[in-house]
Amino acid sequence: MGFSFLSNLFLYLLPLSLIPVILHLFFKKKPRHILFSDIRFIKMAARHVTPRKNIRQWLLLIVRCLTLIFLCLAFARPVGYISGFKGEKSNKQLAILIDCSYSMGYLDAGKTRLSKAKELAINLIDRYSDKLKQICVVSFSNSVEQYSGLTNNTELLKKFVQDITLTNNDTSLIPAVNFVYKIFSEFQNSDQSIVIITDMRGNLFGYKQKIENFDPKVKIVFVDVSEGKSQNVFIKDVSYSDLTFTFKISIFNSSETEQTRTLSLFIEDRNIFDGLVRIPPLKEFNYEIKSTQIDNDSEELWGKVQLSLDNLPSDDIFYFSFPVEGHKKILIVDGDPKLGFNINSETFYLNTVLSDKEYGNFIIKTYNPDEFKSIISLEKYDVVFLCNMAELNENNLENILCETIFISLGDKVDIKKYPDWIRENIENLVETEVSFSERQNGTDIFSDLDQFELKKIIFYKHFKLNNLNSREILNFGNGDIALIGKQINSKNIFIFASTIDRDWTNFPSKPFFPYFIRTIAEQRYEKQQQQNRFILEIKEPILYTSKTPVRFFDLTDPDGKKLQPVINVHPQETSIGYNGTNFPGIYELKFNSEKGTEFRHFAVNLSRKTDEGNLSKIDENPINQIFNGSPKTFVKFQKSPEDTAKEILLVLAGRELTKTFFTIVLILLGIETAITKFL
Amino acid sequence: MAEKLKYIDPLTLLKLGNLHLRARYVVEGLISGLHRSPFKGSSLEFSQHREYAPFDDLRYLDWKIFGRTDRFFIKQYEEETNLRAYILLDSSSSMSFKSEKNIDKLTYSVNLAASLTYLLLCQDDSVGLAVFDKKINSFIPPRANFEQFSTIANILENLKPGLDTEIHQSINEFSRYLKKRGLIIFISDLFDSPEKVMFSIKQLRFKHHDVIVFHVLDPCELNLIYNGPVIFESIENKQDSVYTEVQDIKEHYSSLIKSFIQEYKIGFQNSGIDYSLITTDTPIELGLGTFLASRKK
Repeated sequence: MGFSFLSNLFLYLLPLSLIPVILHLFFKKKPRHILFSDIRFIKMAARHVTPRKNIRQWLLLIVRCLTLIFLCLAFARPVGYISGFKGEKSNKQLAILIDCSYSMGYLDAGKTRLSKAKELAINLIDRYSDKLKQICVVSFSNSVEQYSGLTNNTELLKKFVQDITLTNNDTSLIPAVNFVYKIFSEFQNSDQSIVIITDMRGNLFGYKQKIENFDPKVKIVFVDVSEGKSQNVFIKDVSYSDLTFTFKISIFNSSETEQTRTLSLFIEDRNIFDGLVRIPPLKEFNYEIKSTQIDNDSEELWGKVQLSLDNLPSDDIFYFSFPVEGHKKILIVDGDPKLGFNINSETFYLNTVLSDKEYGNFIIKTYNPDEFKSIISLEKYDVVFLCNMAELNENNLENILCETIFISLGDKVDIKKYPDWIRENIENLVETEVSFSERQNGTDIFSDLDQFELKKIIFYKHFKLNNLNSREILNFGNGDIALIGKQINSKNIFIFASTIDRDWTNFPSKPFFPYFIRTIAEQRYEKQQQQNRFILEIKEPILYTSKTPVRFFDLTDPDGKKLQPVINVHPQETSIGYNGTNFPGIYELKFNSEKGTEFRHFAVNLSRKTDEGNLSKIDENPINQIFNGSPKTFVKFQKSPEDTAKEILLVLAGRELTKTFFTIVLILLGIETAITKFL
Repeated sequence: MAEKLKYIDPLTLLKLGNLHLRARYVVEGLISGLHRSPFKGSSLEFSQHREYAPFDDLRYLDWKIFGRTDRFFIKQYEEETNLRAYILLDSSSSMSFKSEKNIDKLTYSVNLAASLTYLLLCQDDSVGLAVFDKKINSFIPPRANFEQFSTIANILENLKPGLDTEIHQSINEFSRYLKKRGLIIFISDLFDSPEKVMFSIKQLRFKHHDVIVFHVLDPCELNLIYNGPVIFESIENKQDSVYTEVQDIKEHYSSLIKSFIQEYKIGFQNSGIDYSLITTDTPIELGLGTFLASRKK
């Protein structure tokens, strides 16, 4: 509670309240010294009386001081404000910030939080219009959405508030506060206040945490429009693996009780899955849907995952669009086929690992070295495994259409017949028993090494590798390099120091081997996925780049409305961009290419980065840190907007307390009389 | 008040010459006031006759012998002292206390003691004196002649306040001087432990001595007459002091001192000891009156 005074001059009389203390301390009677016959009875009497008398005296002193203080203050006509909201200046500005992020769409007793916020704002404008000179209304989500301008035209302000609609954005209060501070900075010597009407959810400040034009004199009132405990479940993320045809759906329950929802998966418009999910309280839950119904020949997979709708329906749907690579093509060239592909050949082990349908979907071709040499025009492959090749022709390697080449060595290898850019990394043959080092420090593609017993993988022979123009990926325990990676002519080249059959090692029979080979095989897929993004967030631009010539673009929004994308045509590629994904849903791009009419679908979702659907409340600590030094108070939405507006009015405009202070003086005088008489 | 006016107040009494004169004034004034002669007792007993010699008092002529023998014989009486009185006077430093407009307790007690001595000697009783503070400082064995008054008066007139009071110790010491039963007149402010004091005095009573206690207090000791903040310092030990606002403790002090007096009063009464509380503003005759009244019993 803060105070200001209408008749400040009386405050100069406040030192008078020290009169009783001065009298007590400095005008004490000097005691007489009296020689007395026997002082034991005086001592006894003093012991009996003095403590009570001391208490009485101190009480009287305090009461008299307080009486004088309150008397001075009463004459100074005090006005009380909650949390230091003084209003001494006549010039006043009030900014009402209304949160219109999508979490404000949460339904409390059939009414959205935004509609409650709007009702409150209108009430506030009505009540303040006499007292505050200028009011502005700002609607905000993660940026300033709309601004009414500073005015005292209440009708205009009310109309403005009524027109505020829910956005599909998450919340970030800072840009809106910055905006208001900037407006306020134009007014000097003025009482300025900001009323922020929001649901006070955890990540209220979004990514930004610092106010640029901060002014500690501006008073802040936070109004929480949420009622009771929110119960919201939302889909946080959806991913898809076209190797395993598995959807991984991450669902978050922000309520304090377990929630049960139906989960549906739609591919395009077909509902291919319905199930019931239970999500523990305040936890993220991952749900996997494995489907075999997906058309393998399609280049993309789009649709939506939907939970049964709750009080905040907007975050219960997640749109997706995944590029599908189709079957991966693998070429295995075995330099030592050993009477066909018998059990101890590289071909056998590679086939065993890569043909497992549970983990991948590969088309595998196997050539012997002569076949490999004789092919002039190769097909395009994703990965080429060159195992124990006696020689490697430079032209052959250059002509091969692939993203990744994996070269394993062996007893057939004649390093002299290898191209220079491979030979430079291979040194002599070492016949020492080694195993993989348990402490791999250079690996960038194997992330789960900890789960394998690398020490049990033994190599009896290996070529010593160096890291010239390359990077170390795996090492042996003795420090020698086991696997290096390098980039040659936009190809990923991996050179492995030993064999991948059981001639020089037990590696193929160990659990690490399938993971090792599949990780190499999947390298190209990850790189491709990064090029075009098909799952976007609201306001994120659609950007599509095609390396083949395309024409006749047609972009439509989720409602089927045609949009105007920006097209950039370059000799080698054509890019299409569109800024204006304001609604969640599937945006469809239609174009003509060499293959005929093609479609690309872009899934636009509400922002999940700041967990807007997580409705747990924000602490006061971050608010205090960000608005450090500002007088601020927190008001909870009352049963009606009128009551809430009254409370905010009390906070901002204060109440004259002269009568209260005079009453206190009378009470103090009564207390003084009582102490004098009865104590 | 009317009664008081008949007597001379102690302060005025002090102006009446020496102690002898004051004692005589008090005693004779008292006796005339009482209209009863102390000499009418049977304190003289016939011993023998002797022949009249010039200047003998004619009052003692035995006229019956003269009638029978026609010769003058004087009746000779054997002096009989049936009362040995001891005045036990407290001269501790606490007795030097006096309030405004009053004499100090020691001076009052000295005059009271002198008057009692005079009175008793007038009755031909033998009177002795013991002055004490922590111990017996002077002791005069009892005698019945009037020279005894001079001896006692001489000591009393030169008496100065002594040290702390140890009443019970002094009484115990005094009891060793007592050979025969007698009357013990105890004059003190009794500022000591009541239990110990009463125990010692009761011991005297158990030895069949008559005991009269004159409890001499200053009026101010009964009711504190001061006001405002006061630091009270003990006369007996000036290191011992207490600061207080007198008006705050007055009431409680009065009740404490009253219960202190009451304790003595009840204690002595229960043991058959005459107890008399005298304040220093009381005329000494009244103190003597109390004494005589108690002796009449």
